[in-house]
Amino acid sequence: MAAAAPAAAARPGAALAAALVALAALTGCGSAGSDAPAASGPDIVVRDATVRIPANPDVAAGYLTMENKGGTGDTLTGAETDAAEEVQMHDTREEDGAMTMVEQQEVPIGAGETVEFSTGGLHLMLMDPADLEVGDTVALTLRFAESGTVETEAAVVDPMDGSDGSDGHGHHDHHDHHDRRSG
Amino acid sequence: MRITTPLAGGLALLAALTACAAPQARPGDDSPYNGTEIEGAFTLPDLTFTDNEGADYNLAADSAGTTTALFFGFTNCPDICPTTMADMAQAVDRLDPAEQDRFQVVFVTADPDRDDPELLDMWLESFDPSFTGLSGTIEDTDAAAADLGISIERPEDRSGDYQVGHGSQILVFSPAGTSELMWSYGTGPDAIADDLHLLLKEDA
Repeated sequence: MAAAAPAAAARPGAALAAALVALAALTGCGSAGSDAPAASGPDIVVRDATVRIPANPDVAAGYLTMENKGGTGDTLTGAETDAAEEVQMHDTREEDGAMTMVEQQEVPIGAGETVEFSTGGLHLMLMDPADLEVGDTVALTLRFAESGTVETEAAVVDPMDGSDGSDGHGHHDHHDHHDRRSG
Repeated sequence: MRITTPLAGGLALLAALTACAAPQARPGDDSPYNGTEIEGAFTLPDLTFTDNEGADYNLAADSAGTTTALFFGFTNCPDICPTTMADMAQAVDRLDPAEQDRFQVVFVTADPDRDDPELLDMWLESFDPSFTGLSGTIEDTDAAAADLGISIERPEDRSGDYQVGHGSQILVFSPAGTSELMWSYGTGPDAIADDLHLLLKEDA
């Protein structure tokens, strides 16, 4: 104790530097959790959106990952696109050995949560989709109860490429689509 | 002695990881297959359907002599069915031509009201034109599914957009028409192709 105090006093610059580093680390930590002020609402980011080329002309599947970087929860209440008459949200359930799709009116996303729409689970159903080809992009609008609308660009993919998660996970993204948020 | 502790820890971790990666694989499962062996549990039923080219197809008689993978689904299914067909098509691509000659994929629609041979033909074309698509009467479809332990849940009211619940497993039958393997949903193309290499050797 006796030795430590003089040492610190002898090198005030070092102590100050250490304090600054500590402060920077704390600040860094705080802002990594949320870009918004501490008492923020939800902050939704959507990424890795894909739409499959429809094999049956009546329907195409859509996948995406949404993350809530904010401090409170939100609820996805629907989606739309010019590339289809209607967009439904479905979840896949297994009941008595049969896989059944159940339409969802709402998909909640808590503070700090990530929700994936991927094969075998939650997915979008684009009803009566436009003619879609690999390489096209589809503008998707997601509606949230708190955040309003969030826009994202979905890449049109061929399930034969396996790029939309034929391994059961949708997060292997081969595209660099950065999503904009509005509303 | 110090070495054993991290090694044991590593093994436990490895076991945990393995359990995560392959939920179907039971500890001590020494099967060489990625799929589940169901040897002799089911037999292809003697029921006649219409194939995607409009010809009669008897599940038992017309599959005889060829190792056959069978899947029930419907083309308005956007997720499970196209994923399964795409996985199968990619697996078949990984086989050599001699193996491909001895193997076929048969898709039976669980929704014959909407899936006629023409629509099935178009739908399968986008995955692998060599796949066979069958449609039949509701009675024959349900009888075949019941015989093979596959459940189908079809709504009574089939107007407008509707969904059909169906077992998502793929069953593989020997050239004699008895079941050999079952792949559950999500078995990837590599795992399927590996199983087929082995199975076709055994069936030879």
